[in-house]
Amino acid sequence: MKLIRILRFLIIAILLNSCNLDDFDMNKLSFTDMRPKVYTPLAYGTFNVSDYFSPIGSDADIINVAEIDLKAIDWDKGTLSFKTNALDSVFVVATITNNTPMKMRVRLDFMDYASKTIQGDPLESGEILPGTVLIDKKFPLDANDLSVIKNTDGLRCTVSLFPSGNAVTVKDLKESKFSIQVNFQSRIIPDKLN
Amino acid sequence: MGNRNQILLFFLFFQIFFSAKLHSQPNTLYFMKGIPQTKDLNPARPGIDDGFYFSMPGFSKIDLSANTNNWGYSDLIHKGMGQRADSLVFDLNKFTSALGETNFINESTGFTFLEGGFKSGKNFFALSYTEKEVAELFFHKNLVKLINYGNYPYIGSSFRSGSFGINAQHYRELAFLFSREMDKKITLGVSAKILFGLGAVHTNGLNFTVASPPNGSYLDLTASGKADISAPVEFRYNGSGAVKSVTDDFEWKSYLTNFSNPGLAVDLGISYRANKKLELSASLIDIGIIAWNDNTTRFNELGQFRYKGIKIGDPTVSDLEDLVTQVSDSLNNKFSPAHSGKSFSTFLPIKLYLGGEYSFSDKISLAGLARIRAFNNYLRTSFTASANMLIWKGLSLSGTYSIMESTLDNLGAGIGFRGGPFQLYAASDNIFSPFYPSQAKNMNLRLGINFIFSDRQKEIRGKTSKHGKKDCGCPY
Repeated sequence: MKLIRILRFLIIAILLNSCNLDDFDMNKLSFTDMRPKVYTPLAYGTFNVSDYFSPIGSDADIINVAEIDLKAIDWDKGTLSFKTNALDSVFVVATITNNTPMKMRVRLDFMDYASKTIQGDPLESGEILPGTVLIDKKFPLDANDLSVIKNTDGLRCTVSLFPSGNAVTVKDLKESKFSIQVNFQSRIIPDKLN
Repeated sequence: MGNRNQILLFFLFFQIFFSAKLHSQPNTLYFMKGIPQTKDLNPARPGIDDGFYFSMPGFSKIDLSANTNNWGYSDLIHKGMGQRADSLVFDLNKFTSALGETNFINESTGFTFLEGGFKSGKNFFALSYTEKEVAELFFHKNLVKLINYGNYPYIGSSFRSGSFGINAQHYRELAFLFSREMDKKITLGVSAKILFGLGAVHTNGLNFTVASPPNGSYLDLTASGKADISAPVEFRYNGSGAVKSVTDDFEWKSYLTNFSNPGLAVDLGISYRANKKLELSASLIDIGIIAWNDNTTRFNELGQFRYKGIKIGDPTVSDLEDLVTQVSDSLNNKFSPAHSGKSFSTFLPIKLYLGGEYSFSDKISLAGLARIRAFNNYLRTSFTASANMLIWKGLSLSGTYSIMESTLDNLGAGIGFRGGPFQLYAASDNIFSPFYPSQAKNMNLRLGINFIFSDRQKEIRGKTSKHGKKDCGCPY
């Protein structure tokens, strides 16, 4: 009879356990501990200064101005319309190669191309010396930035050039290039993807 | 309620529970006394000494098993703590720490519809018809790390996924077994199996790498591997050869009556009785191959793609949709695996059993068993120690402890109950798994019903047993 009692206990225990399906209720599933960090190229380009520069004077002329603002480079592809609430610790990471004979500053603005307005704060590279590369300049984007970005559909890149101390001719400048690589870094919040 | 009815009730509950959740041939079964199906693990060890048996038509036996390399469901999904006590947490950190470098989850099911056999003199014959299915999903730890940590930690280096994939097959088995006691010491057994494949998926060397320079200015994706499929599905391709859609062409009747994928297998066994108390045995189970000819598709992939982002000023990209389309098209073109409808073949997961049993009497024995399983180019080993006994006439019990493919917490049991010719038996290598299904790493069950008709005249004559003692009078 003891054996039968043991068997009864086993049956009841197994049935009780098998009825407890809490551990398998996928409706209660939370991904809060999961924060994969992604890094992906967003945009890139190499630009001839001549395409964005309208000089006054001949090629042999020495440039003698305090600042040259190149024509803005617009990237109005709507690529910024991502789900910002599913992102955390977001950075725009820029690598800028200055192959011009002048110092360079690059400013990135988030644009709403419908209203042609700049939104939020600019991302500024600081001064980049001629012939150098600014590697992985990280621009952190806070919650406010992200809410701004949500309403924009593009990026405007404005390049300004400054004298480096050496004499630079118009021809030298026109024949030079610069390149910009923009990457994106963020932690993903899986719970908020849907 | 009589004792036998209560035991029967226990078996029915046992069956209902396990058949719903669990699963393969438990090592525990190998040394169980008086169970004809011990021949399934070693054809030289039929469980009856005389007479004949047949199993319950339509439900002769069921084998269910599922196991991993020492990780469980609760390593991945478990209840939260504190404010998250009501939630289930998807915990890839815990899962990653529980994983080995290479990992798998394996499951198999066998369902025998018909089985019977008889012992005549020194010869034993048996035949059976079984539907079998085996599947294994395997992956490298790196793949989980990528999902958990993202690709950022790998910028400036190469991420390698390691080999991953799935191997699965469903086949029908007709087995004809013959064993013979060559002399007082040696018994040899062989089981010839005719197989009919019904469906298979077999991957080989699937893997990918993602490489990038230190500044992350591009991502180089390289993927390679092969996949062979035999199933009632139709693949459609686009102009570049990429899979455009998969159409389900499944029909039960044509699926189950498919005899176009033949195969052969053999089981070999030997039992050596070193002396009256010690028996050594060995077997090779499922040395076999299936040729898949029907509804076959073979994919062979070797592709590479570099993603650099959008080229600013690219006139072909006017909006985000264009970009997604462009990237998607590029991926499809770069990763369009070569495909053909050629035949392929798969091997069965072969098992090697090595056993030793020391009998203190006809009623009590201690035994040890090693099982080596080869599947998907890996060898997986398990060890089982068992104590086997007859409690009273008609009831056989086995208790086991196993180290199974890296899992250590495996206490198993086998029970066989017989009333007249009717026999119910069950065996599992881990009896605690049902109590903690979310933590289980190894689950298996063998359950069956037999009708055994012994040669009663031998019992009446008091025939001496193999052990040289007077027959114990038990029904086996």
